[in-house]
Amino acid sequence: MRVLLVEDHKPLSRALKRGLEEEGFAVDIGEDGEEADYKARSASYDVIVLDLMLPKVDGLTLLKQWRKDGLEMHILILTAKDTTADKVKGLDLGADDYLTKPFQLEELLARLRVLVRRGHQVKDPILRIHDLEIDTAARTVRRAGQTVHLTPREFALLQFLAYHSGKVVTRTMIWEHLYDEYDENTSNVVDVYIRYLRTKIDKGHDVPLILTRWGEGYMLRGEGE
Amino acid sequence: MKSIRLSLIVYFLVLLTGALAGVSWFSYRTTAQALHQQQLDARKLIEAQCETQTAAARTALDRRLVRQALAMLNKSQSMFVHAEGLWNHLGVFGAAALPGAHANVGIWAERNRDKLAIEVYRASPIHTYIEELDDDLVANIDHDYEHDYFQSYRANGVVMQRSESLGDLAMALGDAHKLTPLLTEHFDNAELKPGLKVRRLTLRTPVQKYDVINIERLWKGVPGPNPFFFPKTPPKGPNPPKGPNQPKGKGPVGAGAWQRPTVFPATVPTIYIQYASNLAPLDKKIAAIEKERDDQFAGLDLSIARELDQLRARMFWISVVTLVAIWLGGFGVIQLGLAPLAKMSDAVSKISPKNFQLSLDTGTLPHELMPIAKRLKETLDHLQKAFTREKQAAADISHELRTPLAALMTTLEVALRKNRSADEYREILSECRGSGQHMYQLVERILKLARLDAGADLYRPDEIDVVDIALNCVDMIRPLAKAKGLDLRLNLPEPIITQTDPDKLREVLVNLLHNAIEYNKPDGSIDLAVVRTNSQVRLEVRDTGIGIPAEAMERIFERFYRGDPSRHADTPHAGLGLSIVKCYVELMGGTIKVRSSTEGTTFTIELPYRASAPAVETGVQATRELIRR
Repeated sequence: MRVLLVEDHKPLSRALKRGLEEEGFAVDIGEDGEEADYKARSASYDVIVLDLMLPKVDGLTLLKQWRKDGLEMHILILTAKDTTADKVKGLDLGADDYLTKPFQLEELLARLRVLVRRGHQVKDPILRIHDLEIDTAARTVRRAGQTVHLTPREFALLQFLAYHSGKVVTRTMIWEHLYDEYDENTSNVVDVYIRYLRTKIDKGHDVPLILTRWGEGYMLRGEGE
Repeated sequence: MKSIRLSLIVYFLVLLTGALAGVSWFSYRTTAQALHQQQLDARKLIEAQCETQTAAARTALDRRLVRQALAMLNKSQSMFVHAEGLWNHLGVFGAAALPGAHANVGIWAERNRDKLAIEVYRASPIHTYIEELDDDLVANIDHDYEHDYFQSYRANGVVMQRSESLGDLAMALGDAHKLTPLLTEHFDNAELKPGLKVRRLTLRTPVQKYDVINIERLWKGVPGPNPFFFPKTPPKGPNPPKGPNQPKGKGPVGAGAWQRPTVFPATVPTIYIQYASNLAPLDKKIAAIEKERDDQFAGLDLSIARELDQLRARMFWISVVTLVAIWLGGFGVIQLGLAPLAKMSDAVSKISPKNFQLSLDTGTLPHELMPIAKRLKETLDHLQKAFTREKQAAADISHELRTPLAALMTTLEVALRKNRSADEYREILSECRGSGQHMYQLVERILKLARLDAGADLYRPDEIDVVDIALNCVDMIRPLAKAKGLDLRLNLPEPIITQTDPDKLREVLVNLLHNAIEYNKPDGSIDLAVVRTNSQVRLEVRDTGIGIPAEAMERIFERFYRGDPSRHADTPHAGLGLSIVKCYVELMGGTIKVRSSTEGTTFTIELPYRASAPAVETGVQATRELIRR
């Protein structure tokens, strides 16, 4: 899941980026309003974490502009402004969630997961495809009752495929949602991770869940197939 | 608790009640005095009436006495008969019988009540002879038998007639006979017997009306009036009796003609009439009059007393009604008068920390309350601003602290999520230290301002070299400028030794230089100049930055105001630096000015140049002044 973190206070953005990345998020940082605007319009983010007091263009102006221009990514406002009036204003301008500083990292992560689920019209935090169970909250995976250990990036890839189960997911889509701006885009990096996943998920099972659609991309086997 | 309304009502009503009492008392006094005067006048009138009536009664009595006496006199007069010609008939006998007699000897006869007195006289009476007669004159006088007493007598004291009422009583002659005039009267009071007081009139008069008989003619058988048996009224014949002054010998003389007799005036008898009346009826009448007067007095006194009572009652009720009206009216009037005060009190009671508005239309206020309302409004406005500022400051402080705190906590939470290498931990701890320092600086600045607000940050002057301090600050800031590639240029004169607070001056300069670096353009420059004039030390920090927008110029010294709301990790930009700079400069007795354009910004500080050490008081005073402002 790719997140744009719009925050000008560097120590915070550094710490958050590290924390989110360790949870499998791909994190881009926007240090000021202009940079954030550019990035939000040029890449597809699952969630934008938006600070309000920003150099150059402030957060509320960005929010208003984005919603006006039809950008539909989820936006979580993360700010030191903690009055009810500020919250109401932020939410009314189109934000999906509002969190005030200082905050608990766990809470921010949970809220981000909620937003991701909402993005895929899913409410249950546990994704079940055939005998595969993906607990998006606990970040655990079981296949036929057997726990499968995945790295954050493998988990993110599996989760992404699971959200799109039954549909073909292109390499570009995977790339766009699972890698941040600084990751080097080499043609086979996605294929490598798919291979890792296949080894961990499908090996030893009769029905392979991760399917390859030649010329298109990959897909997780849907419920009816 | 004292109530204005209550005090006003009490004072007002006490005053009105007093005034009412005064007016009532005065009215009562005046009316009562008028009534008393009226009473006195009426008394005088009654007294006068009484006196008039008394006098009238006395006069009436006296008049009756006169009337009665005159009537009696009249009758007594008629009783006299003068006989003439007697002497001629007596001749020698007469002369012998009456020694000293001569031709002029005459006889006076007096017909009396029951006797006939005959007096023979020549020049004066020489013989009196009294014969009892039946005639009663007294009966002919119409009088009050019970109360009237009267008598007539001759000059010689012979009583001629007496009223029956006199009985054995003697009515003294008194001094009346000493009266000389021919006809005179004399009133006096006399006591006939112990307890019997009378009013008495004494008349004295010579006989003027009498009958004359001529004995000679009588003897000669000349018809004429019978000398002894004549009617009670004087004869009214062809020769009616005339007064004694009738001239002699002028009437017709001869046989058949009645000759007026010659009467010697000296021989005309004098008669006295005393007519008295018992004073008892008069006294009784006067007593009655006086009793009536006293009754009238009593009635008058009673009516006046009654009127006074009525007046008192009326005054009392008028006072009570007026008092009640005044109390009610006064209460209402005061209530009405105090309405604006109540309104104001209401408006003031609505003031709360949430609402500093004085909801009062000052247009409708009476002008006495205007200054209060105006001052109150101003004060409330100030308070509200201060309150808002305080709230804003608290919000700002918490806001400014939250971001570094969030960074610190997030860093720690991320670090604790899994085991990490020593290098990673070192990196994280370094991040934490950065956040901690950030917060420390922020807290320091907030505390500085708080100390300034509380007046705890005092001006501590010392004799220092301004140029030396400026160089110190430049040394501190130079690495930063170098890192940003900025040119730091100095224009410093010879040492300037003055009295000022070195720490605060240092803080001010570092702040300004820091800002100059922070907001400069790449490859820009910073100029620091120090100049000494006669009375001032001027420090100037000029940068070649983007400048301050005009709308921000007024607010740059406000706390937590930021022309650019961005923050950077390495410096806390909470918008406190310039606030502190301004406070410090003012504390040092100086001024700070700022000029800005797109070419850059210049801050100019002017500090007073003090060559000698000032008293410590100055510092304290400057602090106090700052607090006051």
